[in-house]
Amino acid sequence: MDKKRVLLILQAISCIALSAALAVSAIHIYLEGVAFRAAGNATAWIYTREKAAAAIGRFWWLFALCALITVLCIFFGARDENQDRPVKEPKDYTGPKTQPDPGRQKIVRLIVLAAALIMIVAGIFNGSMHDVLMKAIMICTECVGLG
Amino acid sequence: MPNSETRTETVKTLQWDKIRPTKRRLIQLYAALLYNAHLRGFVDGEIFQGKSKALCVPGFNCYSCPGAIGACPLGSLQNALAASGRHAGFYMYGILLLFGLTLGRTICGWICPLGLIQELLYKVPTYKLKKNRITHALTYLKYVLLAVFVIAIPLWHGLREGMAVPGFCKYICPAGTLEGAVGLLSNPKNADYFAMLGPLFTRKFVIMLIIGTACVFIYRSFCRFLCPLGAIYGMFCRIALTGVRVNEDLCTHCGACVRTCQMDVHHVGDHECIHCGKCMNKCPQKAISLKAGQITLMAPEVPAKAAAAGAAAPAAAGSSPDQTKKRSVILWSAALAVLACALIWFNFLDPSLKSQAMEPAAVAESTESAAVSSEDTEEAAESTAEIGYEIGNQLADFSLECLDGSTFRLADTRGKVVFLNLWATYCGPCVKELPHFDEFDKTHDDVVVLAVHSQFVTDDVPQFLEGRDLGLTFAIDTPDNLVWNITGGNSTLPQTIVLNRRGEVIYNQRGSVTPELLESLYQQASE
Repeated sequence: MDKKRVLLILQAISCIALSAALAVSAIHIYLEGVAFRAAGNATAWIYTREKAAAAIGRFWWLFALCALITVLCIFFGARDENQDRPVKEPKDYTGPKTQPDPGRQKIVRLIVLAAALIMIVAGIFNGSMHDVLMKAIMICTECVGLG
Repeated sequence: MPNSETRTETVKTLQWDKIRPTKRRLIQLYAALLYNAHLRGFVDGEIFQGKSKALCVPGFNCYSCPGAIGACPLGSLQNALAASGRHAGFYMYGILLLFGLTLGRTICGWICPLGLIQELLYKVPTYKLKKNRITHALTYLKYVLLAVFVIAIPLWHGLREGMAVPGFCKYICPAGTLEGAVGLLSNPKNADYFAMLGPLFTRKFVIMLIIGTACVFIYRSFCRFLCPLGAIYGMFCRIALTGVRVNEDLCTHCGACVRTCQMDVHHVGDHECIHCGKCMNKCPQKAISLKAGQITLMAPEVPAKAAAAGAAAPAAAGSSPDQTKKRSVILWSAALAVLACALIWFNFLDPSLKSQAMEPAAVAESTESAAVSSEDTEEAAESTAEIGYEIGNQLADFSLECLDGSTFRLADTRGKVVFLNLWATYCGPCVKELPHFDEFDKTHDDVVVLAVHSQFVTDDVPQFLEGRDLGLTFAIDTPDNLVWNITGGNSTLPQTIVLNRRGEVIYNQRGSVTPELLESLYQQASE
């Protein structure tokens, strides 16, 4: 088989393997932590820095493999040439979408601009701008997926 | 040997042409850096708390990222919808209308950091999946996500329970996981954040991995199939001032633009088009250009031969290559000057950068008051622990006026187990756990629970608590963050601090608590 094809296939496999390994590690840490908590350690941490580092450390070779294959692909010029070729679809292409009537478009734009500015000013006075600031500077941990 | 030298030079130029970053890539990098100009946040492990966060950035960039200097438009929209019971979120609606009208989905193609990450992942050399009927059908998924996670969930919880639950941020957003959660967790100073990780993080982490892997094989898969912000901006495709435009006089309707585009477009400039401008050079008629109103921002490249023969691209008409180059240099210089100013301001000069830590005077005062109180209380005299907020430290004394008019003095609680809960009305999990504290407080006589609201107030707190039937003692932190400073509170909520009967800290964690955890902490504090 062509070495470029081999490299591309290897890269695809290693990317999926890396992702799957990290996902399985996260789920494993979680299940292990839950079981430990259920055993009467209500305050025990499910994840710890050490566990996370160990999981990443276990698969460092997969990171390295991905990087190595990327370098080899660049060196040998291996890439999926098919991605540059035009697709057959859509078969029913009929040309660019007709532009809206410029006069009407201008009026709509002016209305939207006026609405936007009025809303922003109203928002500054009704406290909704303050809400944005508060939520952005005092983050709730659950909202960013921490827990 | 001049021929061999010329050949070598030509080869070098060709190689450089292959790898050199395009103008669009440079602008994407510039935008990502500008949105995250608070670089010291990555070192300190703290998010930026300046006033600039009242402004939204146009692209997808989580405001929990340690570097973020502006708010995420999608997160802010969800919070605005959640607050609909109090007041309409006009500000966010106005901002989105303005971004949509002026830039539309040009934002996705040029100034979205998440778009940049997806394109970089797609650079990983492997087999790629091209657009087809299935990918086209999947593009409608983002409208479902917009309706359910961005609009329905926040509105439902906001109107029914008065709680902010940003559905998309909480359950899906890979930017929140990557920039916010992983961004904060990767800093060793935030080691205690690991304490709050559980099912939510596991789920979101796996979702992030799936989306990231998909981006390696499918061009901008998140952007095309899942991004609700792109769905919103796509609605402005007919009126957006900036975007790619087709000169219909030149167009022969060959369809090369659509067939070579990696997005699921049906027409140049439709709701799926991110206006990246790649089609400009694919068009054999050179009929496509990037425009802002009547101004041409970018025109198709003219091949060297054609240029030499005197042919000019549509935009080049009226401006010589020298003039274009000069204009480009001026624009880039101005952009770099803006970036330099932003980096200096957001890392060194912004007033919010004053240390969040307790100031020496405040520490001294608190220590002194703790010493005075220890003379009065026999139990406290037993504790010789250092003043601080780490486990094993004795928490500095403070007094705070409560919402019921009474005064809470920490020194008066010696001999009891104290639970301090740091919360805010705009924090969904904080509101959700208040009944747990209330129930716990009612069932334990030797426990004192004080729920301290952040000094940043968006609601009338007493009014918010009305009708919730909570018997807890509530207070609002002082404007100089007295309780936050004493307890080591920062920009993440909720936080719970538990003191044993001697006033020593036995627990100080961010994240939600459960009734079981409260009971377990009580047992631990009573030992």
